[in-house]
Amino acid sequence: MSTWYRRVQRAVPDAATLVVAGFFGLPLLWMLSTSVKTASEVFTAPPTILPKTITIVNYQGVLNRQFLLYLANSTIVSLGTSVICVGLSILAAYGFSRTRFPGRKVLLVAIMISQLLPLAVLLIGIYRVANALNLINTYAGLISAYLAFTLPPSIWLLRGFLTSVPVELEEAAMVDGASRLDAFLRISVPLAMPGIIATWAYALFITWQDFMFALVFMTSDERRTLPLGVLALIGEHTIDWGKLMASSVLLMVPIFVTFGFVQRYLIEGLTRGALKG
Amino acid sequence: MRHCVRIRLGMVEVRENTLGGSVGPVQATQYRKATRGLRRYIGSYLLVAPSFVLLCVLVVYPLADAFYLSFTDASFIRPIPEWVGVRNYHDAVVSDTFWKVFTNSILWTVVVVVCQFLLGLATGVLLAQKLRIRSVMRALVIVPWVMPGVIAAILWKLMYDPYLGLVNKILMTVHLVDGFVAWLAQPETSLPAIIVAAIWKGTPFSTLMYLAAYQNVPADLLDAARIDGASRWQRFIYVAFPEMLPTIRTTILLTTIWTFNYFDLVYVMTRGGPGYASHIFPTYTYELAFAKALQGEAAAYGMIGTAIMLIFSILYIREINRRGGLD
Repeated sequence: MSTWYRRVQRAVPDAATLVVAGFFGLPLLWMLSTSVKTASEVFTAPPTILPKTITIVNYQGVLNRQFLLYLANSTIVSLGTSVICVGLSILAAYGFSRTRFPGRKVLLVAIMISQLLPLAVLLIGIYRVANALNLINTYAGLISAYLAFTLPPSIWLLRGFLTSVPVELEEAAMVDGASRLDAFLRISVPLAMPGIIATWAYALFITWQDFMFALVFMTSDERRTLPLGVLALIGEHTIDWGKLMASSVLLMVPIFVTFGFVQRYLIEGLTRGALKG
Repeated sequence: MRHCVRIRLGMVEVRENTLGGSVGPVQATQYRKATRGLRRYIGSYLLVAPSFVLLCVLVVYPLADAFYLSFTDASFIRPIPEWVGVRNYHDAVVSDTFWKVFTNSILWTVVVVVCQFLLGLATGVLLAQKLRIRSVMRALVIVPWVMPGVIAAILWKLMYDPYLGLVNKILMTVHLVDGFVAWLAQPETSLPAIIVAAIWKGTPFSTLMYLAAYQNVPADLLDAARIDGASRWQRFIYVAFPEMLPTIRTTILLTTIWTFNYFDLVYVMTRGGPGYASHIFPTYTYELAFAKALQGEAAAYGMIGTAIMLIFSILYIREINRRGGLD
């Protein structure tokens, strides 16, 4: 084998890394760069990859009262959904992971199927239910709708985490005189805490980025969530790309901050599902 | 053999006798045992009940309602729907729009899933190597996955802008195109353009899965193969790949279901346009139901989409069940 061949072989991973980094990284870099460009540079063809002059005028233009209102709406709906979702999931996941009650498998299959259904179909039915209950354009209505598609995957994820906490620890605590609830709250919940946080973050991510349900449910401007607010910046004829990119970056900040904290547990929980079933 | 049958027949007779009269002692204990069993599980039922009730109201009932609507002429101007039998299904199947949406959905799902698999596998294995900037790369790959679909869609809408977008600029620099191509406004290019964006957005999930699976391949297996003189490529194809196969199966099934149901990218980038050129089942169902307010027709499209996905859902559940995931 010639040294030439070996040199090429050694360069393959580096070259591949460069291609992958370019494909995934370039759009992201360009997004950040567009958000700090001046309007005249954004609207110059051909576009530049890096900004010639850096300005924060787009961010200033976006961070107004309306944006903060959308932010508040998104926070209320996402926190509301994720907290209720985790609460209910802990109960259900505990039931599923600690006893083998009759009908358990049927329920688990039903939960699996319900997380695989097309949301557009569910939306038609859920909209009619919410409409009949006068829940359109309310936080409660949107939160309930979000529970329809956050609850099944959350129960599934948490069941995985709780199953990995050995039941013997709870039994030992009960032998020492703790009640079943005590044993669960003091032993299993703290041990499963990484999983609980990961599940909470997962529900938070899903609801934070949804706009299909919000589009249908939140009919008035003062109830709009952040994704709807960002989409509304797309005008009929002109699009202010600088502002749009700036608000997109702002919309992602809470997600990345949260993700930074829960990354390890979340990825572990999701991959374990695929690796071990 | 005959002896056995006779005994069984005898038992049946005995049972019939006791059924005719009062409850026999054997049945009474069985009954007590059964109720005691259920009572033992009452706590579990109570724990599962809140979620179960909520999901009945939020998933089971809406799904049944949509199924019922698909046989009616429900629409905005007809608040009390009338039963029309299979008309919505019939009208759908004989229309060109349906077949456009159908072929688009299949094309979209197959191309996106296959590309996510190949690219995900390649990047997953790549990120497992000793690279100089591995941690940076891992963080970078995660970003599109965590990014909201709306944002990814807006970003790629700008990428494809004929004059202001990066796609034309890059392709013109390398002389692959020689004009300002309006990728999202042409019927032939709009769906392929969104497919590229979907690959960008969705591949990271596969990458993380395959990275984890590759790192789970026992090192001594790979070492043994190396000692036996297997090349890098042979080690991957004959040792690592078979070990990763369960994860690959699950990931492909999951991405198929997710891609088929994915709404955000198409809706924000083209709204299914131009014309129906990039409509897929979720976006067309949505448009029928909420832009045109034809819930009956929308429900029929939605049900057909659900039926197609049910096949993959069943395969997925069987896969999970086979590995003891439901025990």
